[in-house]
Amino acid sequence: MTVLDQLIKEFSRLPGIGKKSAARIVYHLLRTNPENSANLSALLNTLHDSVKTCSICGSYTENDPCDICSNPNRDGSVVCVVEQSQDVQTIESTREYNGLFHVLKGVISPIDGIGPEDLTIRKLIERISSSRHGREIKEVIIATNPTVEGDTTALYLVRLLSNTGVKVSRLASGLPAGGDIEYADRLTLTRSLKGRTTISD
Amino acid sequence: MGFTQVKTFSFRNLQDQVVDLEGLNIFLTGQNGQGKSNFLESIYILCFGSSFRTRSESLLVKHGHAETTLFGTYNREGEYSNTISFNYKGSKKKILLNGKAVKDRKNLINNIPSIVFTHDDLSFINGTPDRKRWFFNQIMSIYDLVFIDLLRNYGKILKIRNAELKNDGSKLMDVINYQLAEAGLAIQKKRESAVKEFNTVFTPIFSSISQLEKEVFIKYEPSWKDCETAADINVKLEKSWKNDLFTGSTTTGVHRDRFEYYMDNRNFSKIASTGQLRLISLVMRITQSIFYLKKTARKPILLLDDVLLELDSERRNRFFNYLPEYEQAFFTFLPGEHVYDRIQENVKMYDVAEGVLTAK
Ligand SMILES: [Zn+2]
Repeated sequence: MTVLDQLIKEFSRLPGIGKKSAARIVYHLLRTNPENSANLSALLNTLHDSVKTCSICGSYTENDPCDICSNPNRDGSVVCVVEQSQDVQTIESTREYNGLFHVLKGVISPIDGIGPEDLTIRKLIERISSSRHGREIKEVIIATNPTVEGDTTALYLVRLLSNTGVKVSRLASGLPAGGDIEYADRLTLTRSLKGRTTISD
Repeated sequence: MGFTQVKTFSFRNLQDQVVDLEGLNIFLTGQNGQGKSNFLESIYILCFGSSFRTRSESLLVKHGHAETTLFGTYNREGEYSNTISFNYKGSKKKILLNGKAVKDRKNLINNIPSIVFTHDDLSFINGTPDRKRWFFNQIMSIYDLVFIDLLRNYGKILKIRNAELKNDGSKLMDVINYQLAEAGLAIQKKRESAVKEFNTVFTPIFSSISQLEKEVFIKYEPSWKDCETAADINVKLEKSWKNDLFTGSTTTGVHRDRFEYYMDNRNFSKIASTGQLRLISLVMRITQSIFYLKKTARKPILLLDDVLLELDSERRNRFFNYLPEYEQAFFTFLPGEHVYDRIQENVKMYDVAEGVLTAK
């Protein structure tokens, strides 16, 4: 197998890229300045060393704790629970939210053998119970995707948090059924951030 | 207008051919086994991306061939010509609508809606509860896309619940019960109102064609009887918990709902003659067509596969009186049958022999 073939194969393994797009990318790199390819490969080389997960919220970051967790101007009384690190970026882009985040690293999916213990739920409980006066977590917004698994996860969290005294709400209204937060447009997301409904108590 | 042309390649027993279909009524005459039903099947596949006769799509490929392709051109009122193609090869199917791949068959449902009348419809009337439920799901799905989402969601939750039951009931069961109840309740409510509305069309037409004195109606019997809220359902789920755990599957829910045909307080399908049961199935299809037109304001394509053969001429006439407006209709019949005197205009006739359609 030639380098060309190998690269096309590797690219086509990436999400959202088919064989045709993979070939287009590789031929594009071949035509353009070799520096571009060198830059790309240098960045790829350092990716795993420089990007870590935040020890508090679990989102991807180069500094630990991340910029959000270490920002004193953020509202530490609210935590938004999301499935993936990318969801943090999506919600941040609305500029409507000034609280903190918690990344679950997945959803409960019994069929795939993913139970609550495989997510960062215990860590979330620890964060809530160990939050000190002044930076006390008072509200949890669950922003899992409106899929069956996202619902299971949200409902599980609601029950789990029901006796912790924090206010629990679900970010769901207005999001398309079966859709991902990643694809929801900003306006919809903004609207649902504002109109979130409390589902505990 | 409907289909203007269909091309078939290595499909069932059909010869590779181009068939021009410009006409409101398409008549296909031929002996049994010559390819009439296969041609209707090809039309249906171009409409919905799947067959009404089989789930094993490898059967669609002509014996000794590796793949089959269907290609159709069709017009809808006020629209340019559209194309749809279907290819099945190596257990994979590819559907292209105007050259673009269709990923979810749900997106095809409103494209060229068709309603098929076949002999097998009888099993929707006197078959297993499963078949009857499937029939209603199909009827409701073609005019209510939300219903498809609800069914898919419910099916997924059910699968999760059954998997958890085999895990000896986990701490997630509370949550899953709640989800199942919510999803199931939405389906139950939709079925309730659909059957109610369906009866207002079905019952009078059936009475008129059958000339039976007493009315026949569809009775919806939900598995979660007398449940108005998700909380009511939760009570039932908790009650059946031990039983579910024992069998390792969910024994109550909308996947166990029943649809029965009643006369007074008797189950009509248990006392009716085969002819009467067939008539029910025909009237159900008429009702479905009327319903579709009413709900979507669009005319369906009708595919009638030999089903009128068993009606006497009087009943057949009454049957035609109730057929709603259609975009196009395909009728199959045996040589020498004088069944279709009712339809004289805008007819295109084909003889079907040994897989070849010849225009008359
Ligand atoms: Zn952080």
